[in-house]
Amino acid sequence: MKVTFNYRLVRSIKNQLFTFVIVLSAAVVLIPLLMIIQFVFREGASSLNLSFFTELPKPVGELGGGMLHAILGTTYIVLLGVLIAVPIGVTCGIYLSEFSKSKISKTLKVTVDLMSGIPSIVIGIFAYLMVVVPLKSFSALAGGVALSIIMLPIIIKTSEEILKLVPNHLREAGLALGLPRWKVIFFIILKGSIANLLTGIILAVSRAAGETAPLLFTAFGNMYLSFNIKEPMATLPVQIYTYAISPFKDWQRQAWAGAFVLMVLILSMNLFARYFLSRIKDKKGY
Amino acid sequence: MDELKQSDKIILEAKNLEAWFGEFQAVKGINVQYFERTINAIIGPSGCGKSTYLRCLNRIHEEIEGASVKGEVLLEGKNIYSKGIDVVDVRKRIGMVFQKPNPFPSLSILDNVVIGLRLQGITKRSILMEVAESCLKKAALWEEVKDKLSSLGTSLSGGQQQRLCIARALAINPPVLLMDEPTSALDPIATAKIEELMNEIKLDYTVIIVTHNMQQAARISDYTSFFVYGKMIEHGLSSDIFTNPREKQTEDYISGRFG
Amino acid sequence: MDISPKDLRDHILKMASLVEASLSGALNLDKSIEEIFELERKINEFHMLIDDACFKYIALKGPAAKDLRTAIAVMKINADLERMGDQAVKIKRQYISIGREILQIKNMALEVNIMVKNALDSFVRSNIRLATDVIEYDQEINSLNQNIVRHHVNMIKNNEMGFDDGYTIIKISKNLERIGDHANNIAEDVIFLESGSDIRHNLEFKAPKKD
Repeated sequence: MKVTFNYRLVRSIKNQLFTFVIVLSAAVVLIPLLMIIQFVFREGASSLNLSFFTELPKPVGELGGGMLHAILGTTYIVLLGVLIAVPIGVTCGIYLSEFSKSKISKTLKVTVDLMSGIPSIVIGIFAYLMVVVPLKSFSALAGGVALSIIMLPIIIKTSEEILKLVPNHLREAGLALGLPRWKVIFFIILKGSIANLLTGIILAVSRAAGETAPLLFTAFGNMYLSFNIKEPMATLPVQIYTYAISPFKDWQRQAWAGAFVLMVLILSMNLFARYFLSRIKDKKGY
Repeated sequence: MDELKQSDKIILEAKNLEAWFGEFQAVKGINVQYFERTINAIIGPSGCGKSTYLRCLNRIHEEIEGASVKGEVLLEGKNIYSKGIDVVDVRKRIGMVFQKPNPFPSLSILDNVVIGLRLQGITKRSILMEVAESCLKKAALWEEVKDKLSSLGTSLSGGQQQRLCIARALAINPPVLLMDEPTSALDPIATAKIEELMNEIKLDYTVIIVTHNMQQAARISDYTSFFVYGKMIEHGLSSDIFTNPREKQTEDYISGRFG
Repeated sequence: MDISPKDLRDHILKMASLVEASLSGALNLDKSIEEIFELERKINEFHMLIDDACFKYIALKGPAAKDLRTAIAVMKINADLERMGDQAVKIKRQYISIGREILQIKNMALEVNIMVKNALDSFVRSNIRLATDVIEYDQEINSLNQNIVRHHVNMIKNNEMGFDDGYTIIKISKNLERIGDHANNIAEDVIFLESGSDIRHNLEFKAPKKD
């Protein structure tokens, strides 16, 4: 009897030790995130005021002003990227899931994997060569193209995965109604996956919205408000960078505020996609 | 007294039909004729090609990677496997209900029923409503859902979902309806409801149903085929097959001595 | 295949009315033997049809409880009705050879007719009491038969009647008594159908379930 008693105790100790190690690992991951959030919050929240969101930068030397142009610019360029990446990405995702055994699919998959590994600054240089040089100017278009390249692999991968999750007998049911394959895909399969697709797109957006390096060579930046697609445009990340390396205390303060806003934006998009949308998906079906 | 309510017209015929998964032959040389407005059951041990054979009749089998078909299937005299025949058209005339109820998840009950028509271009609401009501009535589901046509198809119980799938298949008005073990995923009461509505459906459609439940085949069908390992051992009137089959294999299976 | 217990019952009733017509025609000198033969032909058709229908019904529908008992009872009643039909043909031939009305035979035939009617009624109305009455009444029929036999044996012994006629009358009486037996069987089958009890060799049975 003494032997079994010891064995149970040893097992209980092992369990507790293992649990402790797991909790520690989780903490190691969470703590830096929380530290960053709290740090940026401390530095940036205090500089937030209404004018930050509504005003354009004041001339150098003057206090005050805001990042309205950068906030709008980020929105504009990200939307542009979405307009380019989503149709191409979802279509590729459909192709990969419906025709997964073809040679083109295999090549495409490799390409997508490689694409997601390209450093974002290299993507920026590519967009520079492809758009900025021919147009002879930095532009929001170039920025949009650069971001779309960043978003594309993510959108393709999630679309493919989402469509692969659709049970095959649903496809068969659609085909059995005497519908051509493309109609089954677009009107039945895709329609049922909208929540999931949106999640994928928003996750891609939240990744691209924070990219700075590619925008340096493409949208470049602008101190003024612009909605011209062929002209340089301000974006939050670049604006933060510009202000942060400047010698002006006021600008540095605004950089913190911008960092805070950008972080909140991206985090909330992420949370929205993961939790809110997944609840809608649960209500709707699979 | 044995006047089965059928014409003597052959509506569907298989000639030397074979089905392959790559190099493996799942269905071997089937020759059979189906009469209009009859219920035809296909029975046999599991995994012996019954479903594969059925799926050749509406050309769904070939959608599987590596799958192929040899031989002919004649719908009203015309071979559906001829070159130049549009697969999509074939499937409009030979409908299918699957084993697992599979209403489209993002669509309402009404939309589920009419989607086949709507995507063919018929969008007039009055026509769609008429078809929906008539098909839901044939599927014995109308009374239960007439007040909640806009709720999701997936909000129904399993048995109701399967009846919804039957209504959906009937909506495009195919002369032939294939059913692949439609009640095997349902409880006995839901099963009984579907067997009941088969008698109604028989008045307007020809049904070919694969079932692993012999008693079900005996109860509802006019003709029965017995399949073993991809071969059709026997085909005939159900009243003959279940009282005095010609082949010993059939008799053994029906008496529960093998299979 | 769409056979129901109701169909089986309807078939029996049609056959029964043919049998009753045959029986009454057998003892009616105005009816020709051809008419009886025609009825007999139809009765035999029903005989095969009903057995086939019951067989298929059981094989295809797998009935249980009352439905199963109905199918089996119908098959048995079918056999008894067919035998009654045969008896009617025999009686017709025999009565024609006598060529005249025999009062005792006529009376016995009336009683047998009532017994047959009640047996069939008990089936139609699912009435166990009526069926029991029929079974008890069989005794009466047996006595009537014995009386006729005794009476005519004496008449033959006393030369009051020729041997051929006398013997034929005895045969007719015997056949009528057999018809009574068949009616008795039908009543027993009805009790089996309604209560599930086999009372054939004793009279105790379970109370029937309420419908």
